[in-house]
Amino acid sequence: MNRSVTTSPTPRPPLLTAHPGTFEALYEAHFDFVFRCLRRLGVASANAEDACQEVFIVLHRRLLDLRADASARAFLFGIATRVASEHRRKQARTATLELPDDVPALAGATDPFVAAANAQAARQLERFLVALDADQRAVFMLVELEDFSVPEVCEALGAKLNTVYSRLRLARARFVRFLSEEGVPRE
Amino acid sequence: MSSDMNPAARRVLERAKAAQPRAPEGMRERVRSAVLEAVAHPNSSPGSEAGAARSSVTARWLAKPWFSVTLLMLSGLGLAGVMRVTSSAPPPKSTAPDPERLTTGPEQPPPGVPSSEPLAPAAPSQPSLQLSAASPERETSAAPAPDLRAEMAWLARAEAALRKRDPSTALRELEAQRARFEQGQLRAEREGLELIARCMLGRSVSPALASYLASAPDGVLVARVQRACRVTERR
Repeated sequence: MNRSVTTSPTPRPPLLTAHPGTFEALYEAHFDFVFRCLRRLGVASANAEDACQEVFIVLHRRLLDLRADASARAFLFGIATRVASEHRRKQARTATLELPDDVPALAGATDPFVAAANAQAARQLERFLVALDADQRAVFMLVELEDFSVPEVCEALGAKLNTVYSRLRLARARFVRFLSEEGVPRE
Repeated sequence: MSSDMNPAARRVLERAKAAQPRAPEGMRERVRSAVLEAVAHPNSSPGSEAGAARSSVTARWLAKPWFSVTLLMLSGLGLAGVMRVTSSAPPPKSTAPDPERLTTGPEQPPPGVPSSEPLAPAAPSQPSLQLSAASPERETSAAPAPDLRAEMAWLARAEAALRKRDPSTALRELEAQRARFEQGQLRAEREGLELIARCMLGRSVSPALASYLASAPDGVLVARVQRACRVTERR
């Protein structure tokens, strides 16, 4: 009897794909996260839809690589980083580098003054992120804006803990300096 | 780690987080549909853009008649064939089948095109020269027109004759091709092969050679013609 058909050569941890609704669940839970990451990683708004599509196509194909004990956000960020890198290369050829322009009209507030302050802060942040180098930007973005834990960032970036802490410290220091240069009072 | 940032910086971050970029209306559903469609039909996905672009570039190149002819020549001849054609003194004609020649197989005349004489025994497999000419047709809608295919087939037969060190047969094929396709698209290639055949026969080709080299300085056969006719040695 040939058993090789029904047995796997290497046992693996349980997969998220054991659940039939996994892709849908991941898509629903993380679509906005992927969109934000792509925009902050430099994908132009005109290309964001295509880039999102590419990320989720890759996710669909690589669901088997996603272990049950892994962070889905970290996994998605890894894919988004590569997709964004490809898009940035294409954009560089067509010179369409731009700042994010899809800050919501009310910027997360019903009070127009608060909304204006929020929008201004968002634009300051985006200007800062554009100027930051890619490694520090990824760490700063994930920890400060997406509430990743540092170990989760390590998993997303495949970097060591000390490296991530070091990048985070440097990025924070640069952010403080940037705000100071922008005229934002320290208190 | 929080002590790295002052309260003002924290406040800016909190405000910025309240105004995070959001996907435009309807994008979530559009992307979902597109992803499911792409997964169902992998060849149309953006993930295969690079492959599609490569295929498109290949198709564009294969659509060029001169490129198809170059492929035809290269597949039909091979380096060994080129070396033999360009040797200074033709060796005695052999009646034994050449093993290398069998790799390209005999050239069959295209439908409706008469063949002056059989050039080689029939091989059991499909001749690779015909495959070379036909493969672009399968890959691109801009495939060679029937006339162009007939021209290519005729040239392939002439090439085969040259490879067999039979320039007389090659010349007959080329003259027949000239009669039928006087203004054909492969005229430069035909003239190049004619010059090679004449030089192999030891005929004088000076005026035609000068004219050919002047009219097609970048032609695919120029180097072969120069070698066959020893242009460089004369200089």
